[in-house]
Amino acid sequence: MNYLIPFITLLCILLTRSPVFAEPLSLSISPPLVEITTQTDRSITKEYSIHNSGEKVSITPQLFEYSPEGISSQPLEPSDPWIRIVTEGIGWNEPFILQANEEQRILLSLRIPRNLEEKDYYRALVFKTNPAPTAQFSQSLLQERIVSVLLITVSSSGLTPTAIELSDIKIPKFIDSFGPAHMDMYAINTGTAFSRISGTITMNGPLGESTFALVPTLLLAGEKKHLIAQASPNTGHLETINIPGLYVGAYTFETAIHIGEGSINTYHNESFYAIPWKAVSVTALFFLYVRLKIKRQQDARERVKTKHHVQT
Amino acid sequence: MSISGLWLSLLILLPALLAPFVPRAYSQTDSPQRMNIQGGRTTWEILDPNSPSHTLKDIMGEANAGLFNRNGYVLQSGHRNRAQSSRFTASLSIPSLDYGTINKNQSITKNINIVVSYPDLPGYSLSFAQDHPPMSPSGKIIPDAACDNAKEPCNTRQASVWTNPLTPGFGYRVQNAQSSPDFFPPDQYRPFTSLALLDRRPAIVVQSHANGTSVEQTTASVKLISLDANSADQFTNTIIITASPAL
Repeated sequence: MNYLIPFITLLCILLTRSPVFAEPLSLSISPPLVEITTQTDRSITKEYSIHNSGEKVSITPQLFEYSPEGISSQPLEPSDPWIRIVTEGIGWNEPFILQANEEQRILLSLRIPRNLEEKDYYRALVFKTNPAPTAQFSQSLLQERIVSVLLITVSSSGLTPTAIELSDIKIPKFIDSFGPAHMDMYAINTGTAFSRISGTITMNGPLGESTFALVPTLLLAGEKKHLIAQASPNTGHLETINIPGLYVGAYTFETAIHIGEGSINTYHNESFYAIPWKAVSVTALFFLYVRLKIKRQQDARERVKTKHHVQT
Repeated sequence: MSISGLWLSLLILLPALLAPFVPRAYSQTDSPQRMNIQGGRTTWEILDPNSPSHTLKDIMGEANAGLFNRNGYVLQSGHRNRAQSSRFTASLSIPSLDYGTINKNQSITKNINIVVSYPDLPGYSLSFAQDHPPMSPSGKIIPDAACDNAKEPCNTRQASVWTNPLTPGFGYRVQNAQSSPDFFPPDQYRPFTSLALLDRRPAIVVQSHANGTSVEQTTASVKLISLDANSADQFTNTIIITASPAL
C-alpha cells in the first residue's frame, strides 16, 4: 500500500509523457506556416515563438527566399528592408542565447511599401543553432535548422488570379477485372498567387459510384505537385489513386479540383474498361488443354480401332 | 452450368463488384475556439475606418487565407491554414558525432536519431548538408562519398551501394519508411550536399496521408572511410540538418 501512490504517480508521468523526448538539440517554432494576403502601404505585425526543449544553445535567425524547390542557398543580406525583426536585442543574422526550456517571442514587422510590385513573395524564416567544438578528436558538429514558411500575396484588391491545371495524367485504358483501378496525376498552379486546393475523384461504374477526397495541398505560383487521394486504401502506392476490387465493364474517374473553399475550378474525366482477360486467358487455356487431351484420346482410340481393323 | 448455378455465382460475385463503391468520402471541419465553419468562401475588405460610414464588407472573393491589418483591425480569412496555431518541432539525439581516432581504411558509422513533430501540417522534409568535407588542420580531406560503383557514383540526389572498405568517402543514409526511395535498399549512401548549393532533393519528404501520424522518428547513419588517415589526424566539419514544414 505504501508503494501504491508513488507507483501510480510514476505510471501517470510515464503515460502523459510528450511524444517528443528531451534531446540535446530540440527546437520548436510556432507558427510553422503563415499565409498573408495584403495590400501595399500596409503594416502587419506577426508574432513567432521559438522554444528550446534541449540544452542551452546559441541561435541565429535568418531570412531566406523560399520556392517550390526549397529554401535558397544564401540568406537575404541585407534582409528585405520591409521584413524586419522588431524584438529588442534580436536581429537577422545576430546570434542570441536560449536557455534550456526557454521560449523566445519574436515580433516580425512587415511594412509593405507603397510601390512594391503586386505579386507573391515567399520567405523562409530559419532558426539555426550555432554548435561549438567540444572535443580534441575527430568529430562532426551537428547544426539544426528549423524553418517557418511565410507566404505573402501583395494585391490591392485582395483578389488574386488563380488557375489550376491537371497534368501528367496516367491511366490505363484497359485493366484486368481483378484490379486495381488506378490513376496518377499532377496539378500545376498556373496563376500568379499561391493557392490551397482540395478536390475529389469520383469513380463511376455499372453498379454505382464512389467518391474519394484528395489530400488538400498548397501550391505556390508555378508549382507542380503530385495529387494523392486521402482515402485510397493502398497508401503504399505512389499513385494518385489505387483502388483494389473486382471490376467489369466501363468506368470513369471524374476529378474535380476546388481552389480555396470555392466552387469547382478544374474538372477532368477519364474512362477505362475492365476486362477479365486473365480469367478468360486461363479459362481458354484450360479448355484448349481439355480439348487437346480429348482429341489425343480420340486419336489414340482411332489408332487402336484402325490397328484392330487391320489385324482382323 | 445450370441456371441456379449461374445465379449463385452472381450472388457470390456481387459483393466483390460492389466493393469499390463502398462510400469512403471524408468531410473536413475547421473548429476554432469561437466559431465553427464548414465550407464557404469569405474574403473581408477593410474600408477606411476614418470615413464616417466605414464598415467591414464581405466581398466574397477567391482570395487565399490571409491576415489583414489596418488601424487596429486584424482579420483572418480562410480556414485552411490549420498550422497557424500549431508548433513544429525537430529534435536531435546528440549534439555531435565523435569519431575518436580515425585509422587508415577503417570504416566508422555513427547514428543520429531525429524526431519531428508536425501537428496540423500535411508533412515535413529533412535535408542534410555539410559546411565542408571532414578536414584536418594539416589539410587532409576525407572526400565526399562516391560509393562502390565508379561508373555510376552516388551523388547528392541518388544513393547507391557503399560497402567496399577500400572506397574512401564521407556520406549518409536515412532509415525511415517515408525516405527517398534510393535509401530503401540497405547500405545505400549519398554524399552530403554543400550548403552553398540548393537542397533540391530532401532525404525525407513525409506526407501525413501515409500513416496518419504527426510524430516521426528517423535514424540517420553517417559513414566515413579514410585511405590516408593516421592516428594524429583530427578531422572536423559541421553537418547541417534542416527540418522544413511541407505545405
